[in-house]
Amino acid sequence: MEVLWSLVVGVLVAAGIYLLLERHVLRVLFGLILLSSALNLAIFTAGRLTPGLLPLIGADATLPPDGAANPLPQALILTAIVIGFGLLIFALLLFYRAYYQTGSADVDDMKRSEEDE
Amino acid sequence: MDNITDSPETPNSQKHVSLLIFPLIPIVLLFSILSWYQPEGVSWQGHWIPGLDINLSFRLDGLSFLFAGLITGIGALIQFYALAYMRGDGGRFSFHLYLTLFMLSMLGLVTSDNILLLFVFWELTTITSYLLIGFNHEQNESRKKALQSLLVTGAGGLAFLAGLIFLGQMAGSYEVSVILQQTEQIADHPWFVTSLLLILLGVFTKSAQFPFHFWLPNAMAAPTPVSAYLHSATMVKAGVYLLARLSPVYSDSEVWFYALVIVGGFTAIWCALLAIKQTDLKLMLAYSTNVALGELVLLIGIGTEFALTAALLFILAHSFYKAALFMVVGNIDKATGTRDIRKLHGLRAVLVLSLVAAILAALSKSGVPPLLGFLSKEYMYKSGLEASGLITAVLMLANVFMVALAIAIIYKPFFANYQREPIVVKQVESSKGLWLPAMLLAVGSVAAPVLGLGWLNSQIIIPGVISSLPAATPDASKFWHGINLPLLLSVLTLLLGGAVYALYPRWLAKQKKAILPNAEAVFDLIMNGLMRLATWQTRCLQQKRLSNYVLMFSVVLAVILLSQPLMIAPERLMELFQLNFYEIAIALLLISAALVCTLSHSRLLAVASLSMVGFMTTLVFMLYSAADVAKTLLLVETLMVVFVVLLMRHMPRLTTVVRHSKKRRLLHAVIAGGVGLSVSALLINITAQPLDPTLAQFFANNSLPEGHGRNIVNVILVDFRAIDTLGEMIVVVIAGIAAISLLSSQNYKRAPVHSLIFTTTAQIVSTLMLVFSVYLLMRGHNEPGGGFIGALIAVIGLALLMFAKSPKYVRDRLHYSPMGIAMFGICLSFIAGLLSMAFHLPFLTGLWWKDVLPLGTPLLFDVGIYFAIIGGVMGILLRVNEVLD
Amino acid sequence: MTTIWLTLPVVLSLLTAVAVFTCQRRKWLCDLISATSVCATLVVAALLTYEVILNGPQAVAFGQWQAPFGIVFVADFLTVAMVLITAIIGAISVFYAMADIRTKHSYTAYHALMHVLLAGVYGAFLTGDIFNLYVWFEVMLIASFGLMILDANKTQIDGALKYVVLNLISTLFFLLAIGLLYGATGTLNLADLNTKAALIAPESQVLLSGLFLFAFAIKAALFPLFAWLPASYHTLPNVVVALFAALLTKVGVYALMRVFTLVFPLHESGWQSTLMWVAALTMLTGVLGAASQFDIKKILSFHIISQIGYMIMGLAVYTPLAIAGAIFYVVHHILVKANLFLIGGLIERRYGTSHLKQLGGAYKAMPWLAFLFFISAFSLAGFPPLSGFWGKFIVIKASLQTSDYWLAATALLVGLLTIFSMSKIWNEAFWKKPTNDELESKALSRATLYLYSLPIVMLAALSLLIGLVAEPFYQFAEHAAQQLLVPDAYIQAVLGGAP
Repeated sequence: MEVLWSLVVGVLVAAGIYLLLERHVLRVLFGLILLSSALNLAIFTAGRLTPGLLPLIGADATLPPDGAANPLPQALILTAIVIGFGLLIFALLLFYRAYYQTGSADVDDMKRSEEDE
Repeated sequence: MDNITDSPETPNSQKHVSLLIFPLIPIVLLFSILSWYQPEGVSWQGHWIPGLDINLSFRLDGLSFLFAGLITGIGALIQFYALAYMRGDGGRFSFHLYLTLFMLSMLGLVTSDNILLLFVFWELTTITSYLLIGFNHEQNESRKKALQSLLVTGAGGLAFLAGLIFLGQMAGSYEVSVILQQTEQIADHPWFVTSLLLILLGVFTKSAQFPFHFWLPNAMAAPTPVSAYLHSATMVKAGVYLLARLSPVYSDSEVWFYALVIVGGFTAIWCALLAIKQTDLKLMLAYSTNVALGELVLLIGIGTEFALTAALLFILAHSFYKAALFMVVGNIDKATGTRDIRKLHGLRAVLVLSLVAAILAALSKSGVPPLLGFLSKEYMYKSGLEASGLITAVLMLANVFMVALAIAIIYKPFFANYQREPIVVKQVESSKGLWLPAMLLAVGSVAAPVLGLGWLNSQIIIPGVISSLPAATPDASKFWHGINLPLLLSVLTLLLGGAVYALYPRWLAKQKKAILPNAEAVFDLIMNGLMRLATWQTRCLQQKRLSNYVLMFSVVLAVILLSQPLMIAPERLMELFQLNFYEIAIALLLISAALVCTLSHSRLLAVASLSMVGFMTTLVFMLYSAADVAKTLLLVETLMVVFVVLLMRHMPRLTTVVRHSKKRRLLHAVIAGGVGLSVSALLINITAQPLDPTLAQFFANNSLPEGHGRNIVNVILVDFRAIDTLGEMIVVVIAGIAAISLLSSQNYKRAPVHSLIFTTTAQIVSTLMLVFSVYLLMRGHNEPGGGFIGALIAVIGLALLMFAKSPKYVRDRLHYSPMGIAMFGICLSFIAGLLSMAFHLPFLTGLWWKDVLPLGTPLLFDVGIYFAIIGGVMGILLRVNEVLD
Repeated sequence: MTTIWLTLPVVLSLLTAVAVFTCQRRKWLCDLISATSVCATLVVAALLTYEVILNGPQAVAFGQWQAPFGIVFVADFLTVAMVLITAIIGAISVFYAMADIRTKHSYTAYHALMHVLLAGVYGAFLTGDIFNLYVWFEVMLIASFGLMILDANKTQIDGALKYVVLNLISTLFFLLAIGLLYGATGTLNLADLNTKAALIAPESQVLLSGLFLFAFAIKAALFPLFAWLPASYHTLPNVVVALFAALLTKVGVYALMRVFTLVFPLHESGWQSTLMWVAALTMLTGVLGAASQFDIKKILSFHIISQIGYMIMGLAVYTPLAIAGAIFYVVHHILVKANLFLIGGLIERRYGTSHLKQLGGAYKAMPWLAFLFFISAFSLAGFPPLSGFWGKFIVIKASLQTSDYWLAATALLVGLLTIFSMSKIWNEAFWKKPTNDELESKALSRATLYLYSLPIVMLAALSLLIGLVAEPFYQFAEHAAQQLLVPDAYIQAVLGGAP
C-alpha cells in the first residue's frame, strides 16, 4: 500500500512544484495548496497505513484493538492541516492584495520592493 | 589641502587650557617609560583572554624603548604643535582625542609581547589613522584617501592576522618570548614560508612598500600634524618595528632576505624617482618617507649587526628630521595658503625660525656631519659594503635623490626669487607652538649625536640590536671611523645630490613624457572591477522575479534530492499488484486531478480539480483509519474552496498572464519530476522497514488510564502533545489577524439580499450545525470529533448564515468581535495549561476530577481550541465578505 | 523552579500578546504591559541561564509525559545563550518601538505580533522535539508575515509576497522531512533521534538530512537560497527589521546547529564539504551584494547574509573551536546587527530617507550617534578589540587548524569587503557634507531622542563589553560547543538514565 501512495505523493509534489514555478499568482497558490496536500499524505504514508482499524478504545476495553492504526501521524497531520490552512488563507489574501495593487496577476511584475528608486 | 582658516582667537581659545591635557599625557608617559626602562628589558603580564592565549603581556626592551620614546616624545611635540595649528578648527577636540588614541595604540603596538595583542593595537592604529586622514571629512578627496588607506592597510592587516595565526600555531603560543625560543622548530614547519609571506604582506602595506606605497602620499589629505606624526615618525614604521621584532624567527631564511632586500630596495629607488617629480612640498616629503621606509626594510633584510645599527640610527634620525620638516611645511602652508614650490619663493624673511629648523633638518636628511643623519648613513654604507656592491649602489642612489630633494625643499620656498606674482604671507611665527616643536627636533638632530651618543649606544642601539639579533655582540657606534670607503661614499652622495639638483629642472621636463605605471591606478582599477563584479553578481542572484527565485530554490532542492541514487527493491513494487480496486481508483483519480489542475487553463476547472485532490485525500484518510483527519480535512478543504472561489472571482483569468517559454516549462517539468520522483523513492525506501512502535504503543497504553480518553488522536492533541496544539491555535488566530489587516483599507459594501427561502433554511441549518458542533466538541475526547472539528462545523454553519443574510448579521449574532472570541479561546487553553503549574506540575499537565464529574483541564483546553478557531476563521471570513461582496 | 523558567519565556510572551491585543486603543496600557513583560522575560532568561550554568542542561516534560513520548523543553548552554540574547533583543525592540512607531495606527498590533514572534523564537530555541520545532517555526513565521504587512504599502506587499512564498517552500519541505524522519525512526524527540537516526539506511540518511539542510538553509538565508531576505527586509519599519535581522535567520542557524550535531552529526552526514562551500559563497555573495547597494537598510540586509556565512563556516568546520566561534559570532552578530538597524532607523527618522545619496552630515549633527555607529560598524567589520573580531578570529583560526585554507582566505577577504561597504555608510551618511539644507529640518524632541538612544546605547555597550571582556563569553561558547559535539548531558537531561 505504501508504495502506491508514495508514488501518488511523488506526483502531487511534482505537480505542486511545477505550479509554483508558474507566473500567474493563482497558479502559485494552487501549487502551495497541492504541495501541502501532498505532504499530509506523505506524513500519513510514512507513519504506515492500516486499513479499517481506528485508533479508538472501545467502550469496555482499556486498549485499542490489536493492530489499530498509528495515532501519532494522525495527530501530526491534524496539526499540520490546521497550520497549513492558516498560512494558505493568509497567502491567498496576500496574493489578492498584491494583485490588487499591481494590477497584474503576474508574480514577475510584483517586484516593486527590489526596484531602485 | 588643509582647510584651516586662521581666524584669530575664536571662542575655542577658552578651551585652550583644558586642551593642554593632550600634550601632557605623552609627556607623563615619556617620563614613566624612561623611569621603567632597563636595557635588559622589563616585562609586565596580565590576563585578558587566556582561553585563546591572548594575554596582556607587555615588554619594554631596547627596540621597544626606541619606538616608545619616539612615540611619546614626538607625540608631545606634535600635540603642542597641533594646539597651535588647529586653533580655530571646530573639531579640534576630537582631533586631539583621535591623536591621543592613536598614540596609545601605537605605544601598545611597540610594547606588546603577545602577537595577537600586537595585532589588536596594529588594527587600532589603522582605525585611528583612518579617522585622522579623513579629518577634513567634508571634502570628497579626504574621504576617498582615508578609505584608500583603510582598505590597503586593512587588507594587509587581514593577511597579517592569518600569518600570525600560523606563527602562533607553529610555536604553540602567541607569546613573543615563547615564539623566540622555538625558532628552530618553526623553521622546519611546512607553514614557515606561508606565515612569513603573509606577515610580510601586512608589513609592506603598513610601511607603504611597493606596490602598496601609494596610500602614504595620498594620506597627506590629513592635517599636517597627522602627516608629521603618523605618516612619517610613527605608524608607518610599525611594519619596520615588526620586522625587527620577528627578525630572530625568520632572518635565517632566504625568502626573508630576498623579499626584504628586493622590495625595500625597489621601493626606495622607485619612490625617490617619484619624489623628485613632485611640486607639492608635502608630497615630496611623503615620497621621501617611502624612500626611508624602503631603506629600513632593506637594512633589516640584510640583518647584520651593522645593518641593524644603521636601521636603528636611521629610525631615530628620520623621525627627528622628517617630523621637523613636516611642521615647517605646515607653517609655510599656514602662512601662504599653498605648498606648491612653483609658487612659493622668498619666505626666508618671514619664516626665519622655521627656516633655521628646516635647514638643520635638511642637513640631517642629507647626511652632513655631525648630524644624526650622517651617523646613520655611515652605518648604512658600512652594512651595504659588507653585503654587496649592488645593495650599496641602491642605497647610494636613493640617498643622492634625498640630498637633491633636501636642497629643493630648502632652496625653493625660502631662497628662490621668481619675478612672478607676489604671494601674501601671514605672520604665523608669533605663535610659539608652530615653530618651537620643529626647532626642538632639529636641534635634537644635532645634539643627540654630539652630546648623547654614549647614552644612545648603551640604552638603545646595543640592546636594540640584540633584540633583533640575539646572538650579536654589537660595538658601540662611533662618529669617526677614520677616512674609509663609507665616508667617501657619504661625500660622494652629497656631491652627486647637488649635481642632481642642478640638473633637476631639465630632468623634470623629460620626466613628463616618461610614463611610470601607476600603482594607484591599479588599485582604482581593482576597486572598480570589484564594484562591477558586485553589481553583476547581485543582478544575477537577485533577479527581482519571484518565478526565478522559485526556480533557483527548486533546482537546489532537486540537486540535493538527486545527489544520492536510491535503489528500490523490485519486490516492493510487486505490492502494487495486490491492491484493491478502489485503492487504485482513488490513486488514479488523485493523480489525474493533480494533472488537470496543473495543465488547466480555466480557473474554475483548476479549482475544481484542486478540491477533487482534497476530497480524494480525505477518502484516503478515511480508508486507512484516520477518521479525525478525514473529517477535519473535509471541512478545511471546503472552507478553503470557499475562500479561493470568493477571491478568485476578483482575479484575472489564468490566460491573461504570459506563460514561460516552452523550453523553460520543460525545464520546470524536469525539475519537478525529479523532485517528485526522489520524494517517492525516499518514501518507499523508508517504509520498507517496519516502524519503531514504541511511541504508538505508549499512546495506546496510556490514553485511557492516564489521559482519560478513548480517542487516542484527540488525547495526543489535547494532552500528550498539547503544546503543539497550542502553537497551532496561535498560528490560525494570528493568520486571521494578519489577513484582516491586509484587507483593512477598503470600503465595506452592502451584501446582496438572497431569497427568503434560502435565508430561512440557512438559519435552521446553521443553528443545527452549531448544536452539532458543540456535540462534536463534547464527545471529542472519546470518539472522533473534538475542538477543531467542532469549530470548523460551527464556522461552516455561520458561513452559511453569512451568505444567507449578511456579514453584519453574523457579526451582530456573534455579539463579540471574532478576534475577541479567539483571544478568549486562547486564554481558556492557557488557563487549562497554567492551572497545573499552580500545583507545581509542569505546564499543561492534565488535572482530572473523575470522582465527581468526567471533567479535566484537557477538556477545557479543547474548548479553548474550539473558540479560538471559530474566532480566527470567522474573523477572516467575515472580513473577506465585507470587502469583496 | 527550573521547569517554570523553561516554560515562562514562551507562555509569558503569548499571554502578553493576548493582553496587548485586547487593550487595542489604549497605547499607554499596551506600553506598560509590553515593557513589563519583556523585562520579566529578561529576568526569567537570566535565571534560566544561571541555573543551566550551575547545574548543566535542564529539561521539562510538558504534561508530565516523559520524553520521548511527550514534548520537552530543554536548555543547554547554546539554548540559554540564544534565549537570553532574544530576551535582550525583545526588550530593546519594545522600547525602541515606543520611540519609532508609536504614531502608527497599528501600534498595538505591532506589539502583539512582536510578542508572538518572540514566543515563536523562544519556543524554537527551547524545544526538544522536532515536530514542535516546526510548530514554533510556524508561529514565528506567521507573526513575521503579520509584521511585514501591517503598514501594507505597495513595496511592502511585493516584498512580502516573495518572503511568504519562499518561506512557505522552506516550511513545507521541513514538514516533509519531519514526516519522513518519523517514518524512518518512529520518534520525534531530538535526543531520542540522536541514536535512532544513525540506524537509518545511509542513502536515505543523506537525503533526509539534505531535506533538513534545504529547509533550514532557506530560513538561515544561505547561498543560493537567500533571495527572500534582500527582497523584503528593507521595506519594513526599522524596529521590525532590527528584530528580524537579529532573530529570524539565527533561528535557522540554530536549527542547523542543533540538527547537524544532535540528529545527523555533520561529519557523518555527507554534507560537510558542501556546507563549507555554501558558507564561503554565502559570505562572499552577501558582502558583494552589500557593496553594490546605496541604501543603508539594503546594505545592512545583505550584510546579514554575509555574516550568516561566518556562522555556517564555524559549523561546517565542525571542531569544538570552530563551533565555539560560530556561537560567539551569533551572539555578537545579533547585538551588533540589531543596533546598526536601530541607528539606521534613527537616521531615517531624522532625515526622512535611508538612501546614501541623499544623506550627509550626520557626524556633525549627531556626533554621539556617529560614535555609536562607528563602534558597531567596525565591530561588524571585525576590527579588534570589538566583539566581531573575536568571532571572526576564532572561526578563521579553526579553519586554519583543519587546513581549510581557502575557507579562511575567503573569510579574510570578506572581512575586507565588509570594511569597504560599512565605511561607505560612514562616508556618505556621516562624513559627507549634507546634500541640502532641508535635511536638517526634522529635529526630534528631546524625549523621543532619549527613547531612541537608550536601546542603541545599551546594545553598543553590550557589544563593547563582549569585545573587551571576551574571556567569559568565549569560555561559555566553548562549553556550549562541547555540549553540542558531545551531547551526552543534553540527552541525559531529556531522556534520563545513566550519563
